[in-house]
Amino acid sequence: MADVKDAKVEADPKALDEALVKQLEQQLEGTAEEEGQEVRPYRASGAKHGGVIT
Amino acid sequence: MSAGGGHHLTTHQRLWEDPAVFRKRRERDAASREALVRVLGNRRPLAGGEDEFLELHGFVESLPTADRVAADPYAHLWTRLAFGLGASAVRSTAIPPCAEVLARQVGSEDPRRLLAGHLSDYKRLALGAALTAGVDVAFETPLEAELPMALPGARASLVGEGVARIFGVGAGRVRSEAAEARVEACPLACAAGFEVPLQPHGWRVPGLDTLPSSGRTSLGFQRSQVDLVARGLSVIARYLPGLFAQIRREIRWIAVNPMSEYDAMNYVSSSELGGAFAFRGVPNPYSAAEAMIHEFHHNRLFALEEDGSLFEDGALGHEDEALYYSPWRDEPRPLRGILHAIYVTTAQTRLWIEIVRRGDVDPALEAYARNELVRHPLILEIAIGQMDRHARLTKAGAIYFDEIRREVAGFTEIARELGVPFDSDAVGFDADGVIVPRPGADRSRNIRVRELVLDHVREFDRARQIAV
Repeated sequence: MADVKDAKVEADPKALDEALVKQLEQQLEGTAEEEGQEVRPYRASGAKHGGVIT
Repeated sequence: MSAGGGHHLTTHQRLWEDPAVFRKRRERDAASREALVRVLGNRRPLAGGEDEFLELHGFVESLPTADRVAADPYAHLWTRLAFGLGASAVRSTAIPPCAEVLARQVGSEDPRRLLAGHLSDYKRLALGAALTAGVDVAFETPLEAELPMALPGARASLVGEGVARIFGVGAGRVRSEAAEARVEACPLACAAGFEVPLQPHGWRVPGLDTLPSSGRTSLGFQRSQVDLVARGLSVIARYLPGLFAQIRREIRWIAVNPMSEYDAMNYVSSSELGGAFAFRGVPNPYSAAEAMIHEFHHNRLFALEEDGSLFEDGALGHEDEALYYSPWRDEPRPLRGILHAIYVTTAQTRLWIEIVRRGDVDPALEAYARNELVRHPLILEIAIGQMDRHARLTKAGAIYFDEIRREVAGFTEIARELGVPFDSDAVGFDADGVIVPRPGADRSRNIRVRELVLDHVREFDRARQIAV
């Protein structure tokens, strides 16, 4: 598994935004003053690209 | 003025280049998981059923590879589902839209039951974190997972057949009752210092209903596609180095769909698997480059959409809102799909501009590039007209859309400067990746690009939304 452990992968340093965590806790609890609307899942898919003859 | 609060950035930079849009999504995911841990710990909606997850989460966060696993596309899907189901379980409300697929798969709309199962799937992330950190982990209750399964962040799959009960990691191996199950590394496509895994199994996760044909292929098949992906990425690095840097930073895995299969998911990205995509392996590096530019930009627009609504009233793409003619598709599309198509095609057009501008490719490819510089401005104009007539955009959405419109308006002039004719014979990639003329409907002659576009409008604009 050396290749698994050694692979270089871009990753963000840990940095938790405490104010955001609090706001999200309130959303989970249902006590947030304002809740954003959930962005619905979406699949962008197609059988072909314009340049491909099928 | 710039959309979305990027004070020192132009709208163009924010729309097309700013890495913050991806970073913010990962930061929000990390904050969501932390908020979930705190609220589950305090409220205990599963009456102890959350304990193993809480312990595992603490374990994963203590590992040096926690960030790497958190950057895997599956971590975004897992987090969105966990947060939405956690809120429903704590507040005793209906499940959120993002959990509808999972509810169908499980056969229940009970948020507590769904949350309990979903918290168990956190073990997928724990497996990846333990393997990459080189430490052991033992699950109190086994993870039940269908093989083959991707190991998040590990650039590897657990391969085998059927449903396996997985008990953890010991001495660098995944411990499972399936004797034949083994960890197999993904093949890596390497270009200009970027190594990207070809991971066909990342689609095979609970809560997602996107399974392109690559999801049924082996790592061996993906190994046969490494050269195509590498050469496609090299094309992007050569002509669009700034975009290549973005792809290198944000894309965690790619899957190639085999030419032997053909379906509606030949080219696919999911809003729920940020940092991944699949495309059809048309054996030509320029076709691969175009497909990867296309799919990467779906990923980028998904991240922008999560950063702030682009449509008024959250009109974000139910398939049942598919009412609008699209020059890319034979069936009506939702406006969200048309906006995505405009965005990604605008990005693709830059590749063909650069290729024609440099004039350093063979005549057949040069002809194809010029073909696209006739076709793209035309279909983009049609699609922008659809948006103008029907879409209600937010302030940020309108600012972004005006920026796209500004760029598209310049394409025709750029094409003229590059000597691209008003019209030309239409060409395309065949199944062997060879650039060939497109035959007309009766096959007796080749079709012209403008004729191709207008024929599509006449045949598929059934609601007569486009004046031709």
